Amino acid sequence: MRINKKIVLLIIFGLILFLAGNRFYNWSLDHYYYYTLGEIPEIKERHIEGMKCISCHGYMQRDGKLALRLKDVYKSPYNLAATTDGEFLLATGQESNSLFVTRLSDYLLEKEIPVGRRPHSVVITDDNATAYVSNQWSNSVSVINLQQSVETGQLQTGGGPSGMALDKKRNLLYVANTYTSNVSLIDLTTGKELRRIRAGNYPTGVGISPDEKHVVVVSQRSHLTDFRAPPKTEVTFIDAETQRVRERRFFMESHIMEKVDFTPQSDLALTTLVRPKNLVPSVKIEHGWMMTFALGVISLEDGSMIQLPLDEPNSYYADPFDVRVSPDGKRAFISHSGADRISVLDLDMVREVLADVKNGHIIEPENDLLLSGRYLLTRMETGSNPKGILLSEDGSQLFVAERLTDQISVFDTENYLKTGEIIVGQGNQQAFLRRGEQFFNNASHTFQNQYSCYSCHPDNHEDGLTYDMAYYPGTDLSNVQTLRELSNTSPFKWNGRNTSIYMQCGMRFSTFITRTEVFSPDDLNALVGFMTTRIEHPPNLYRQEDGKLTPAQKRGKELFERTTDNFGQPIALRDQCITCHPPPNFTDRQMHDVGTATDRDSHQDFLTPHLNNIYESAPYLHDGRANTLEELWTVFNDDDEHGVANDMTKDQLNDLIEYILSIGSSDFY
Amino acid sequence: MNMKKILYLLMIVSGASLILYALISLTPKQSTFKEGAVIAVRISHTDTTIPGENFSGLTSGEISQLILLEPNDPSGTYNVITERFYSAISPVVSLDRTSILFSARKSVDSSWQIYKMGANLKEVAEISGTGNDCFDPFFLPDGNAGFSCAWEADLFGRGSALFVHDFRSSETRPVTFHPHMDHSASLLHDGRILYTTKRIYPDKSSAVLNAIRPDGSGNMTFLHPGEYGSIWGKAQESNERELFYLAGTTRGTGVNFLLSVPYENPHRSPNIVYRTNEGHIHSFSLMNEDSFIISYRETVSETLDLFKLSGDEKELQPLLSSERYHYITPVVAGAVSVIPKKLPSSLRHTMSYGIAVIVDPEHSFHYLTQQKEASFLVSITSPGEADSMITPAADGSLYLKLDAGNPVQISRTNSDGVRIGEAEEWLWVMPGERTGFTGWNGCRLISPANRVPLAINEPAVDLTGSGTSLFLTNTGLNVYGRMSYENQ
Repeated sequence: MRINKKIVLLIIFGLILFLAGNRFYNWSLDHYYYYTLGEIPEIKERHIEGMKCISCHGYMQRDGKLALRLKDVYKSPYNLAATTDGEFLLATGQESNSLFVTRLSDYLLEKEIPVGRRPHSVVITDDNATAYVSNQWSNSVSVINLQQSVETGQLQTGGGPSGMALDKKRNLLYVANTYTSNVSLIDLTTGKELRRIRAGNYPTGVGISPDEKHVVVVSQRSHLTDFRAPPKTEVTFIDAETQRVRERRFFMESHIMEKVDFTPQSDLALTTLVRPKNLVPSVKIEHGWMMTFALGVISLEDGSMIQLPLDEPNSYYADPFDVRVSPDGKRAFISHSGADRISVLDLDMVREVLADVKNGHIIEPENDLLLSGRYLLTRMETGSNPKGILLSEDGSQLFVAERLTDQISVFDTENYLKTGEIIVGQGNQQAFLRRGEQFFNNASHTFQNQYSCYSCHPDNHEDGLTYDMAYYPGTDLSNVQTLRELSNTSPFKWNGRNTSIYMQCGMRFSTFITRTEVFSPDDLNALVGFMTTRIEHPPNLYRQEDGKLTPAQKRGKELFERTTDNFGQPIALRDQCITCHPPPNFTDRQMHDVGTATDRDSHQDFLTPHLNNIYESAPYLHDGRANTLEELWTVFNDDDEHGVANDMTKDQLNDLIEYILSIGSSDFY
Repeated sequence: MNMKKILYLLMIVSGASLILYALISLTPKQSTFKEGAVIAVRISHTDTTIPGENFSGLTSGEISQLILLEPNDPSGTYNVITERFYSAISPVVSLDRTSILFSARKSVDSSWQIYKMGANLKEVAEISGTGNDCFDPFFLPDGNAGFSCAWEADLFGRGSALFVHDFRSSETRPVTFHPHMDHSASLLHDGRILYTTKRIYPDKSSAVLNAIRPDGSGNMTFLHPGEYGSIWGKAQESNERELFYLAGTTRGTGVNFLLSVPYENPHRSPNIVYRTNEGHIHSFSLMNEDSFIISYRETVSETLDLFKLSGDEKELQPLLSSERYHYITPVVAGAVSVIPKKLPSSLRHTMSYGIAVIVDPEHSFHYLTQQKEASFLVSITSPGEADSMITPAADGSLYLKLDAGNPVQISRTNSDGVRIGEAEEWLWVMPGERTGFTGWNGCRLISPANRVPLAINEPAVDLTGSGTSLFLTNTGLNVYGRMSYENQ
């Protein structure tokens, strides 16, 4: 029989193609599993159907052209203020670095005034002539001439200025400096900073009581506490007369206080709180076993501080941000940025509950999920990510800055209906990366909306807490890590098991963390795209403006890169800092045993963390045992397993730490 | 091969593709029940027990059939859709309206099993496959099904448990493991199963609504009827997240209520949607947010008829009545459009145990503020076994390792072992489950304080192998012995 040569060749070619294709298919399947599911066999069947190669190879790349093409320009209104004549509403544009001036007669945008980076808050003088805007990433306050709608100057502040309070009687401006944990006191007559007042940890909200006697500062982060002790977050009381701290008190077991407001009679100050359950084993999510949210009530008369829940047994109202008391003192309005809701509370009923607590009729009111039924009047639905809110002078209207829909909604406070909206941005709010940011900030992807990504990662960072998440309670404790600039730093988690963000946020995440339906592939792509391309570090406060190192930092850098110790002995490669922490991200992305495991840990080696802006991430180590960078070497490095450091003098250690503090964004390198 | 041949080949392939595409396109789409269509149960009017009320009527000899009617059809005609069965009850329509589940028996002697029927009313498949009576089916968000099946055990008497059935693997698993009567399950939008349950051992309790994840984890009380007496029938959550249910001080003729509570907080005082002082509301179904179809009769001598209940005044408008038949358990296709969430399962079926952490806010508070240590004991009751007495940690917390599927009662006792307060509900863990609860009382609506429970600083109290399990399978529901998950 005559065999056609071409047919034989075709068959051989087809066979090769088939085998190669089959091999490629199997490889790609393994590759897919490796980067999305890991090696836990029970999980392997639970992959997310519909994910495509483009997810990782397109959206996830920080410099990926695809993700960058999907960016749009957004304004992100953040905080609000209104002129006393009710004519204009001002809003800071967090992403547009501008201040919006809108006319309230027709809800139209009048002007957009450029200010510094990441504007946070705005306050207006009584004569409506001047507005002050805090620029969180520029370490300044912009002075705005409202008649001319221009920035006329800048006031210097500490690091990360955020909330502000205007003492109109004394012509003073209090500015909470979030990143340097103090308050700048600025004399507005001279424009000079009079002093800095130490205040909490990451102070963000500051307010002055209507009687102009009390200045109250609230903080985002807990003070550094003993290992496995509950968080406690400072409320700083400043005497408005003397401008000195009168008292420091703490809200226990809670943190992330963003704003503060007062009753008209100046007897109560109100703030919003997040109540994490980081010390409670995460054995379940129902009934607030992972996170709850509360209103902090501070009596300015007797100093008592009580937390009242804002949640209900089957529904949680994540990430409360702003609080405003109505002019008649009868109601409080609270924005829940993770739930797209405004809660309205009856303050008369709040006072009744406070009396019951003080009389001992209620123990631990902050954990009673039925209590909010006593004082909750209603909840109003808003657009995405409501942040700053503001009541009109007569209290009849409520303005809500919806950060992730680029608009300000107007509500009638009589019947709680939306009556209008002010559009400040024209960007596509449904665009891929914007949706990702909306998912990140919204709690609807957790069971009963109990928490959002933001709840543990406020400002896209971390909350400074250590959680008990492993299967066996009390083991493998996990210090939350920052999400800033995490692209190209995989794998993730302290045990290095999550090979990609898809795995971190995918099926395993919904199975063990959010405990509800998994993200759809499209939603997950959007979320991951946002996380990898849109989250930056704030400017490093320890770097000089020109990016150059100080002499101490230079000496520290030499120590960081040294190859011999003080005795002239060579340091083994594995014991040199630079080996495991190489630039640009200062991580080799490998697991190492550096002698930090304890008998609570199921493994000895941990994933090397990156060091960019590490000064913002206290406490340190996988379980948060070290409160400061110094402790890494003075307390937890007896055997030089975490780099050779025991030979260093105190000055050398200080220099080394000075250098480590200065390690900023990977863009520097 | 020359060019001509290649062209021919291409033409043949293209033609075949076109034919295939046309065939696929012309294939009739899967039929669906019309939105608003009503399926109900029709039963001959006699004095015997009415099927569909728990399973007390399952043993009756009554013939019941499922009927399909169009509520807007003024003629009131309907079709009987289960004529091939001897008797059929408890219909439920799938979320996509393409199929129904119901309980039926093929002859007077056969047991009640669960069947699935397509909307074309032709394809019927049995899914339960047990020897025991099964009833009250429901659809799960992933398209799988669940139902209740009766069991009998010497120690407990007669009860029923919930099961879930996977259509792909044809596997049926029990998901409730307590000596209770579990029935009338529906789905919450959050993805959990909401079911009516009543304790039968060691004492009998009134019926409450429980919620449980479809994998059998996280069982908890969802709603107590409180002053409204007892709950019966299936509760239903509306698109607007209101939960509707029936309750009354007496089941049967008397004061009956159709009540609603918000999902967010079902412990608020319920809203009375409809109240009858003399009649009996047997069952209901949502039509839309504020109108219902209810099965109701005014006196016991009458038949149960179907009524529309709508308008601000909630007036009854007759929909279907007959002197020969009762009409009960109406189901409106597409009444609720929200698709419940698909909850992932964190269970590990290779494990034979799970863990539970119990914290006590009150004692934890006293321990923290006054250094007052817990002065009570905790009794762990396992069916048919002597109680285990455990000393809790100083803050009143407990950390337990329990056999999967083994129901235990955890109670607080004084130092003499005498129980303080009412009996706790039965608790069980699923394989690999981690669970917890707060406090030693029925109301566990207290979020735990953010403190390390002292009990977890020590290894878990190992209670595995110390009790006897209520072992439920899809083939032998009344087996009473040690559970072994590995063997399933």
